[in-house]
Amino acid sequence: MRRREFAAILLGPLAVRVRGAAFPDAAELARRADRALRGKTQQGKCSMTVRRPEWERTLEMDYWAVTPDKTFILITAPAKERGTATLRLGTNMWIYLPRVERTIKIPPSLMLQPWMGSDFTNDDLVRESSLVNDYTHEIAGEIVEGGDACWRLVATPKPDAPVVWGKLILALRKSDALPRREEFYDEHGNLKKVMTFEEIRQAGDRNYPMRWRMKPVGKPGRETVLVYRRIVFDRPIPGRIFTLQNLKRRI
Amino acid sequence: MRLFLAMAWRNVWRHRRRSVLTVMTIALGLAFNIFMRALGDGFHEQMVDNSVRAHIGHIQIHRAGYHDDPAITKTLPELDKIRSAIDALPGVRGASLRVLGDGLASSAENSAGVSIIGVDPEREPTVTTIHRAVVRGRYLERGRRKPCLIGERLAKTLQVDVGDSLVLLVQGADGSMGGEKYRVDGVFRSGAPELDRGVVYLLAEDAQELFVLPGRFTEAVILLDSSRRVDEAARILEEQLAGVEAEVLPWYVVEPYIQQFIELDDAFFYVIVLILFIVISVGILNTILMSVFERVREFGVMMSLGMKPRQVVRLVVMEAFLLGAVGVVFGGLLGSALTLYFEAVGMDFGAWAEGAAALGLTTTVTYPKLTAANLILSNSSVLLVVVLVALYPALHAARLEPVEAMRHV
Repeated sequence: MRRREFAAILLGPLAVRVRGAAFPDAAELARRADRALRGKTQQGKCSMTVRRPEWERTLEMDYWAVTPDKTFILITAPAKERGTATLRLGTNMWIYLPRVERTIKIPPSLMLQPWMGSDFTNDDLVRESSLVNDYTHEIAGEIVEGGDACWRLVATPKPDAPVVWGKLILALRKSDALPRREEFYDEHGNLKKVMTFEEIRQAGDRNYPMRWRMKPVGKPGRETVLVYRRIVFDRPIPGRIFTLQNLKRRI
Repeated sequence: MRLFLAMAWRNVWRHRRRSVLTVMTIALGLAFNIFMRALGDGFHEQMVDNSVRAHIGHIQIHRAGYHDDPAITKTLPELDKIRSAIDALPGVRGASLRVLGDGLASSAENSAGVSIIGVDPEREPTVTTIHRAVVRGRYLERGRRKPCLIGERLAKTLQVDVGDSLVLLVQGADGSMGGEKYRVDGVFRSGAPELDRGVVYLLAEDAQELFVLPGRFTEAVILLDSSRRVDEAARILEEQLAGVEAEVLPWYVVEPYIQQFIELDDAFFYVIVLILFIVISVGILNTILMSVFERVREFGVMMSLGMKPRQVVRLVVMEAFLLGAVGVVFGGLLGSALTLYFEAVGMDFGAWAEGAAALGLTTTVTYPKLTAANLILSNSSVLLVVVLVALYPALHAARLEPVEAMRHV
């Protein structure tokens, strides 16, 4: 009797440790996912197709990005928007309109507005850096998403994080921490948007989802699809790209 | 009956001072009631009128579902049918078509989210008064190159003035991004903060180009010659447009908060009136009660001589009624005179101009309005209260035991 109790006390902690070892550290997994998606720098071409019940529109863009918070996007098609450029530095955003030759600063109040009429908000574009810093992470099991075995990562905002979501749930590939799916929940726990990461292929030195599809929940016929046509990772990008002058020069 | 009247009258004036005081209480209370109600009515009518003439008009027509869920793609269907329905409507003082959208207004200094309203510069002034509120520059004119008209507060935020240019960044009805430069032709001060702060007026054609809405409009707005005809006019329009996918909205559906405020204000008024009536009632009750207690012996004698209890009640109530009637006559005259004087002259609340602007009033002078409903309601309710209050002392008097009463000290 006594020996059995003694054994249970001794072996108890070991049993717990064994189970815990199967799950990776949540915060570390989040960091890996972040690194897998972004690298130090990124540049390339992509297209964004916005679908609505009344219309469908595709923008072609060249882009340059330096992690964590510098982005320069130049729209190359269609004709009406060609030459439009947006610059993001930290939490500031500007847009240049070639037809009127004017640079416009996007005020903070409009950060929650859709970017270019898509299902991505201005804030979405500047948010990415904060997945690691502004959230606490927890692994909530496993799931198979898009044919890949994934970890389910639940990210909850830290108390005073400047974050608009109540919760994010990501399905991250066990193999390389790339996301297959991201669910966006508001503060009341309602699912508002779902992003799926598709067509994971070799791009430069790594695997990368070449198609990102953002669908708002409960609004049929609406989605935004971002397709990367070409990406180069970690090539140095001159600082002059991320300046207001460059918005007008657009080189 | 004549006898009772004569007796009641005599009894009332047996205590001249007390009766005069009571009559004065009733008269002043009633005059106050009439005047306050008229002030409220005038104020409310002004609020409605200001809002209606500043922007919303009496009736608005949109594509069905626009009001609950506005979208740039929801434009007026079957414009011809709508135009002819409006033309056929009697009692229309003015009508206009508008293009409505949102966007970002940007100057060299600053940017601000704005509502963009594309108007016909000849028809719009038949409905709204913004053209009279221009403080610098000019109202919109056809033939000028891409003009815009902005509110004073917006001009201040963006730090632009007449002659400067403004860029409007919008999303078009086809999903494309629209960006265009406009010259500020005029700056207006309407007094309504939402207009002064957040609206940019363009020529309808320019707005149609900006939002990629060739030949389309978002809203038809109608001004009637009398706000009392709103419901009837809306009904006629709905009938005329039965097969069309449009919504016909009276002003109080467009801006319900005005109506809600009026109802709230009325509720407060009724509380005040209630307190007033309680005060008057107490005064009358006091008077009648005193006069009854003083006359216990008298009642005893009358009843032992054959006066029936029900007749005693009738006598006392009639005394109260006479007091009430005299009070009502004087109070009604006083209240009406006071109201009519200020209705002609106006009351200037200039000292509270900021608050007035917040409520949507563009002028600080208010005109109380005397209505028949006001007079009838006020007068009759005072009279009714007086009579009801008198019932208690009257019944007390009727229940006196004659013999005991006669011996009362």
